[in-house]
Amino acid sequence: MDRKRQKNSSNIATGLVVLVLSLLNGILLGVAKPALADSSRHVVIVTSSDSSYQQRTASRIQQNIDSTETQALIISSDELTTSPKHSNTVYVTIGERAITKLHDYASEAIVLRINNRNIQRTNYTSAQSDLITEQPACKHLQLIRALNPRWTTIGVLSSINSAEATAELTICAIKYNLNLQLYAITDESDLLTTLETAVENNQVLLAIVDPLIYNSRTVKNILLTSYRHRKPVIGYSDSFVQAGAIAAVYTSPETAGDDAANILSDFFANNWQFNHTVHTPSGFEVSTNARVAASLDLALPDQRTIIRRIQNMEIKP
Amino acid sequence: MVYHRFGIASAFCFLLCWTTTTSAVEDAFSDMPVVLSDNQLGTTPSRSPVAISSIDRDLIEAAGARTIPDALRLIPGIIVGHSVNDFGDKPLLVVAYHGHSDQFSRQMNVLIDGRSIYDPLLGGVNWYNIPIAIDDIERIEVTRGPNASTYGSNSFQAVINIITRHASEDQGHFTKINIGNHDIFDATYRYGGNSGDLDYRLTLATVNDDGQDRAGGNNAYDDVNSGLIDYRLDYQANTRNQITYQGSFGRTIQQAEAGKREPVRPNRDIEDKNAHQYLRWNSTISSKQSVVAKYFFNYLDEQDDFVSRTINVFPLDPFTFPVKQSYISQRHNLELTHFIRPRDTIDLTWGFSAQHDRVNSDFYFRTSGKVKRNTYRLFGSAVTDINARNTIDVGLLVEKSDGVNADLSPRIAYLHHFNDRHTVRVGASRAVRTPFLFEQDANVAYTATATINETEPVALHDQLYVPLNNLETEKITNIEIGYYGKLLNKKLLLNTRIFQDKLEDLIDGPEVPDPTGLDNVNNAAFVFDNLYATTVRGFDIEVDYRIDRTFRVVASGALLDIKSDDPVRVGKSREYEESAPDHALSLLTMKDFNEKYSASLGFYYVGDMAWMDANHNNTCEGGGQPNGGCGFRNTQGYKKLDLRLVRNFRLGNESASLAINMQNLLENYSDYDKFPSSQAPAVEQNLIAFLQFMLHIR
Repeated sequence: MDRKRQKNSSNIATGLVVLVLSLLNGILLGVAKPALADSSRHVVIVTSSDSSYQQRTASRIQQNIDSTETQALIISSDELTTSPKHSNTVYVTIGERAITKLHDYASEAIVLRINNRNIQRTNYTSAQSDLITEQPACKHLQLIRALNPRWTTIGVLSSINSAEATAELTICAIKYNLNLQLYAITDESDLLTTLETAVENNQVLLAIVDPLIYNSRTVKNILLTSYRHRKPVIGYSDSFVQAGAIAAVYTSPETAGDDAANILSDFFANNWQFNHTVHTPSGFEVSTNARVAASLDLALPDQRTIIRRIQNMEIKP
Repeated sequence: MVYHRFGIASAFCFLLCWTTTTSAVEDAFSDMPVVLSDNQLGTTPSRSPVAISSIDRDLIEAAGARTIPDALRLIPGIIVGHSVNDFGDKPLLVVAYHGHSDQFSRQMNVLIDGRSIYDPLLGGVNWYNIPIAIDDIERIEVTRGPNASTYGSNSFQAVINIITRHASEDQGHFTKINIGNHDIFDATYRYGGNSGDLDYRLTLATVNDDGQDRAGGNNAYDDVNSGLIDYRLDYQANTRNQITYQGSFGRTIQQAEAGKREPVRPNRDIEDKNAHQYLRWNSTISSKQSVVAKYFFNYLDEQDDFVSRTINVFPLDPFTFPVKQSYISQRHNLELTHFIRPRDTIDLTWGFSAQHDRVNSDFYFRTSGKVKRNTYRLFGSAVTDINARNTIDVGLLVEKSDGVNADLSPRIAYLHHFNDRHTVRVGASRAVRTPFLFEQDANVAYTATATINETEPVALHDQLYVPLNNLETEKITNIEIGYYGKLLNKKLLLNTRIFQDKLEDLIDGPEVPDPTGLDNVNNAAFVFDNLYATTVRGFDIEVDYRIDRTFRVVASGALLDIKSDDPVRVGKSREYEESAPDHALSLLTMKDFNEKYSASLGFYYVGDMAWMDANHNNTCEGGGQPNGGCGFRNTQGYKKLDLRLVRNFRLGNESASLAINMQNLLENYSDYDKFPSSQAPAVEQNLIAFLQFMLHIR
């Protein structure tokens, strides 16, 4: 009883100190931040931007972390420099910017990096692990086959950033007897000309994660040009599908969040050691844009059918 | 010039106010902007409730089109004519669908990016001064048949929707020059750039030629010289909101030949200045909903003041009088459209619009000097996929214009998809055409003071047009069965239909004893009234065959039969029946021989017909009376053969081409009024040849 009261008193005192410190911190820095108690485990989730995907992933991780044992805080990468450092902290970064910022801020940090495969090779002195959210390259080709088996010529724009993915795609294309045409982009100024060639000569344009080629500025041209040629684009995210791609196979923020929370749970259970250095998503989702497909006069199977077909291909390629 | 300054100032303000820096570093988790929103998606024939055709950019270029009507010949049922007429009107390039048209093709709506551009005063469109450069066009969608619930009022017999390219697709410098016979000199320069989330383009264009020749070889007085500044800005405010701002200023000078069937109008130059401003906000609320709000302003200032030719009528002394035929028309339009997708199988669209038309003219509205009209519309449509094979599409427009009763324009279609290659459509629709301001309120008269023996003054009043109260809308009721198929491994697209259009309350202006009693010249005036009804039955077909990646054939054909409901079938009733050819076809083949060389060959055949304002009272070419038939169809059947040879050059991201275009290679022909009653030699279409140079630097 006394111990419990003592603990409560200690918690109250700690809470008050943290409150005062955080208020001072807020006053001094002009930004009020949630407090972290030094005595508990901390998970700091650092987002690169306020994109819907990142915010939903971060929230999901926070929801899944047992708050009685671990305090989880979501901050943006810009807020890192003003946030206090604590011991017993694991950082979860989402996106590239967060990785870079965290490395600048605390190169000794323990970090779980949630990113696509184009992760920066930034090494930390402490434990680190990666959760790659991008679906395996073969899954994108399985999606194309699930959508329409008659689509056999597939155009892919790639740059040096996506060399790893294109290599995997090439191998997988052979497996599925698909004609994969790769178009190298060395500079953004090449994009339009190469894009025209790619959509003219192929039945489908498959987009792969590559910020040099696919970003909010270039996606307009890519989708409009493909649409003008009446060629469908296969995206890599739900956001891409909302923008105008006809379909995508991707890892949802919820799956990524759940996976990250499980990795952290294992990490804590394993005496602050990651079981694996690289983790892949436990599931996948499929998104389709029926209106764009209808406008292109394409009949798409429903999502359940697509998922079932992909699962069947995984069992029996 | 106020509107001009406003336009340019607005453009710069927009640039300065909205320009932002390039987005921060992005990754796979970044939100993508919605690019292909509901408003930007076209309709495929297999999903459309009505027959639609599409002319893409490749077809426009392959057709060697200098003007949009040149490309529209590929649409089944569309006829193009050059209306140098006997009335001293300015020459017009006329595009008509299924006849019923004089030089003002009133039964067809024309839109640019959803902005209706038909003339509120006279109806129709002056294709010579249409405020768009042909090189900025992405595609032209033509709805064959009424579809008011989608495109608004006056979407009567057909709708031409011209869709321009997003500014982000026209980056860099583009130059095009056409030089050829008939004093052809066209030049276009376009620059497109971007700054952060703002894409913009500016186009300068001029189109010039000496028009048509008389049959004897002399050049007709119908030169056209036009210039245009056109701009478009597309701003991505955030991932779900886009703002598009467009504007233009154009100036066209057209020669108009002296009237040969009327004594007043001399040879003269008519100057049109037009401008427009168009603001569109496109907001994607969610994957299930989006909203489009748009406002546009159209402005046209036509300067056509002149002094009449000398009138010699005994016992009056020869005299002249001033005619101030100029007018200014303005249109403001505000529209909101809401797209909803409550379930994956249901698409709903609804919206409303308000439009204000105003025309100032002391000539056309001699007592009031101006006419205003407000129009309000409420529209909606629902598309339901009952299952994978069956779709029902319904739509409705409710419209109320000042001075005209409220009208309903409903539409229903059932589509059955046998599989993803074969679709059959059964549809019925009804639409109205609101009378144009000239038809509704025209009050036109020539007034002059002459003398007898140079002493006794005589006030002359020749009443030309008198308005009629309670003029009603024209109505069309359409039923059709269509088939759309993708054959030969989807390389061949076949789009065909049989249809019947019932047109009622057609407006015409016969000459009657002057109701005003003011006319002391001939005591006659034209009064517009709802007088006629016709039934159009026909069959049309379109084929688009991509034999391989280098060879494409596009063909269309139409069989048409127009019957007047008037059992007597004389006069206007008969003229309606002759106002479209019984058969017409087009064929365009395109071949890329290699990366350097390509060619296209176009063949067009149009059967005998007669435009509504052409001469119907001539004798047949070989003698005989027009009542026997031949004299009515004085635009005799003609064949047109066009050839285009292209040499392409490519240097890195820069591309260039040099093309030789030759048109009308088979024969000289008249596509409007071959036997004018004035007995003047007919205006002919003869050989047109021009070189085209294009350069695109990205």
